[in-house]
Amino acid sequence: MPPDVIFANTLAFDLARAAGPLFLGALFLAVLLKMTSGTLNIGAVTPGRGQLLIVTFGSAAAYWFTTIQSGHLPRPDPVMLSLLGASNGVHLGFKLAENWSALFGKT
Amino acid sequence: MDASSTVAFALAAVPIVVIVILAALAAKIVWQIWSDEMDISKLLSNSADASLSRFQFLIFTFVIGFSYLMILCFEVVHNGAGGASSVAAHAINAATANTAGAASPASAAGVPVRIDLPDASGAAWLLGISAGGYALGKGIQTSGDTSTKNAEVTANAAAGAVAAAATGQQTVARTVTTTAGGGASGTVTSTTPSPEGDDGET
Repeated sequence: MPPDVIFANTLAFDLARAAGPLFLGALFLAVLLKMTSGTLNIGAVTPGRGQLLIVTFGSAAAYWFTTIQSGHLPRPDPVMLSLLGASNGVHLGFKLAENWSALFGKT
Repeated sequence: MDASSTVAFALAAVPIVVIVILAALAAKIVWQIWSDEMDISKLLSNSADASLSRFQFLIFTFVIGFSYLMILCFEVVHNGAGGASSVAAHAINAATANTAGAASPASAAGVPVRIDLPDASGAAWLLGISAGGYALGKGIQTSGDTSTKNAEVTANAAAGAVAAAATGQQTVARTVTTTAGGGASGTVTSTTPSPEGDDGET
């Protein structure tokens, strides 16, 4: 490979490796700061949503570090899939319950 | 410019362009959230303004996008330049030493080698879960909103019909009273009530 190709890909690799945690960290910090400042109303949290938010950030960070460690895009392990599936399922279940009367109730 | 130099230029330019675009998009999203231009204040509440499933989809999309680009650049550098001697390969050499393997003789000689796209089937699970959750949630929310709106429209129409019927009865009653009392014509030409409700007779 020509040296400029190696240099460009090395630079892109380093930027991508740094951008992932920066993006995740900045989003996480933004959510935390908005929670502490009261902008993100955690008094109106409905069940399942807080859990899903935590699991989302945790899964994304775990997937990122696993990718760094393994050198390829890994298949999520059953624990991560169970956590994500359960959180999304609970979230959707509560959303369905909130809209149950509108969907299936007598109007 | 021959074919090999074109390929070399593409291999050098494309990763830089893609990472700049991706990073700019990510930075803009983060900035909009920080500056409240993108409102996530109702992310955890029961509101259609901010969707938690969509937020999850956004996070996984960017994480997998950065990961995919990183792996692809790693493979280009590693397969093309001899792996451990490059900066990128050295950065994750310890973690991937047992899977990366040695550089091929062709790459060591500076000849471009075939580079396969990374297997992304694992990432499809994450994207599938978040996209499926988003789609289901959207369907439930939209169906619920539509049912509520239809119920309101039906209730309003029924209330309007009841009011119109009541006004029409009053109009007919007045017309009959006028006719019985020796009115000028005594002919009812319209029973449709006007907005004022008292002009429906001749």
